[in-house]
Amino acid sequence: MSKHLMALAFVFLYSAFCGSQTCTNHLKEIELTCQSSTCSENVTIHLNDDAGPADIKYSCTSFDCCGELKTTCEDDGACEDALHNPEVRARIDDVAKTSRVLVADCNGRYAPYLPRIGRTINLDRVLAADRILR
Amino acid sequence: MDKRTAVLTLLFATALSFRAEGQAGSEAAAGSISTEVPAYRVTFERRDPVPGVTASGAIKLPFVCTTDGTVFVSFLNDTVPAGVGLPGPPPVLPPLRLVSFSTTGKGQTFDLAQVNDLYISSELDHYVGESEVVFLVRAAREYKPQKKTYRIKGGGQGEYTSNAVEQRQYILIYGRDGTYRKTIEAEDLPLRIENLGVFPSGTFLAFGYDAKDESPRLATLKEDGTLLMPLEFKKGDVPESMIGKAGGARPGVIAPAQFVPDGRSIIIVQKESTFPLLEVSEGGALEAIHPKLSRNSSIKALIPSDRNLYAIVAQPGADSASKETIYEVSREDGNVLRRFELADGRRPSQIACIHDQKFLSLDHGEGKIIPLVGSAEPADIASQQKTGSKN
Repeated sequence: MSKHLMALAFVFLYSAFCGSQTCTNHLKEIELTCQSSTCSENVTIHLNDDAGPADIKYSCTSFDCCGELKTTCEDDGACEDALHNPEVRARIDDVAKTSRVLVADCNGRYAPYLPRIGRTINLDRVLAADRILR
Repeated sequence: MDKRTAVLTLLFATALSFRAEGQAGSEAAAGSISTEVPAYRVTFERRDPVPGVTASGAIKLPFVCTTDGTVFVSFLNDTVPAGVGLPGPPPVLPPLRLVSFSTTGKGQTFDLAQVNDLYISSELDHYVGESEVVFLVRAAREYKPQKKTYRIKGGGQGEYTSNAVEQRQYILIYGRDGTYRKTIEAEDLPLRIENLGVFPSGTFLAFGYDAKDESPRLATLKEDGTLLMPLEFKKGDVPESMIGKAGGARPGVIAPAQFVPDGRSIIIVQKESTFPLLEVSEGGALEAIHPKLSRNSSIKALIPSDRNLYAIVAQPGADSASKETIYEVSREDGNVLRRFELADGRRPSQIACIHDQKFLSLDHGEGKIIPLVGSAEPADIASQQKTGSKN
């Protein structure tokens, strides 16, 4: 397997690991009142608020509010950062010795991996490369 | 079981029984506020639909109301009909459209699309001052679409598009006539703003949290959006963290708050919490107001009013909106003065404001806004009239 293919394979493996989570900074509470000719009700919904680092894992559901669909989400716990796992870090470091490695964040965005500090560079700078992988 | 054990067990059981009765008794006593204060019944009259404005089926609460009785309503624009197989709206703050209607039936729309040099991702808050309407939005100067996914409970993933460019907070200023005036960048502040208000002098009041430790933060801002003065809370008047923690209420959720204009001051309602109302003066003085409500009940919202405080109170353990009650509370001593029952199955949260002793509300089905004006009278007289009219 060529170096590039190896890196790419790892990216997809890693992507599957991280992409199973959807994460946000916080959830924001919104109170709604829905009304139709035959119905009137109040609902409280929670929606994602991407105002900072994606720290919490969430999942959502839709429901009928007087004939209109609304979405609400809930906190499913801390978002797992795979780079904090020493075993995963060691595996990425091994691959990164011979290849350039892209890693995905929990929102499915990719960035080059920097082996020594185990962090990725500013994601906004690599969005062009990011699109190639989609 | 020997005699001593049996006696001890009996004593323990008796003590538990007394303890349980004591708690129930004190809760019953605390909960009796609804029978102690005079009850009033509010009946509504429908007015003509407001011309020139359109309604959607869902409103984001709370309402905002001005001293002249003009009601401001925030309609949700993202309508997805249920039952036709379409996926629900994305899990982000939905696009909103602010509409106002006056007591004379004049309607006005405040269209964020007038701002053509910003890509607005979400409206975080709005507030209506004496002469202007202010919006707090998250936006960017550029737009780079980015597909994002979210997990659907029960399996599967949803997808939506967001702006990949770094978002900042901006304050948008509109005239009361719906005309966009200017944009102010609200960055480099020691807080992430969740609620924004404006005093008659033009000074802003910003409430939110410290992005580092999530502690509550309050500050006044100059007219250019820069920091004027951080305001200090008294211990116990606010939570230690603005984000719900595991084991606490609503984990991961930002504690919701409401700004209510009160003369030259602004009252901060820390919704559904045990923390007091906080009255903030233009000079930055903070005063806690402790309404004397029954134990464990909490204020869900304040209804804007031109006189006393009207609190929508959620009863302990009640999930349903039908368990909410409107209480009039004295701002001087926190005493509960009156309780209001609404006719026609109207819910307390459907009352937009109380102006000149009239309860202003609206119906908003089928694209129209139909104002309703409610009048209160003592509940016993109202029930007598109801019986009389039946006979």
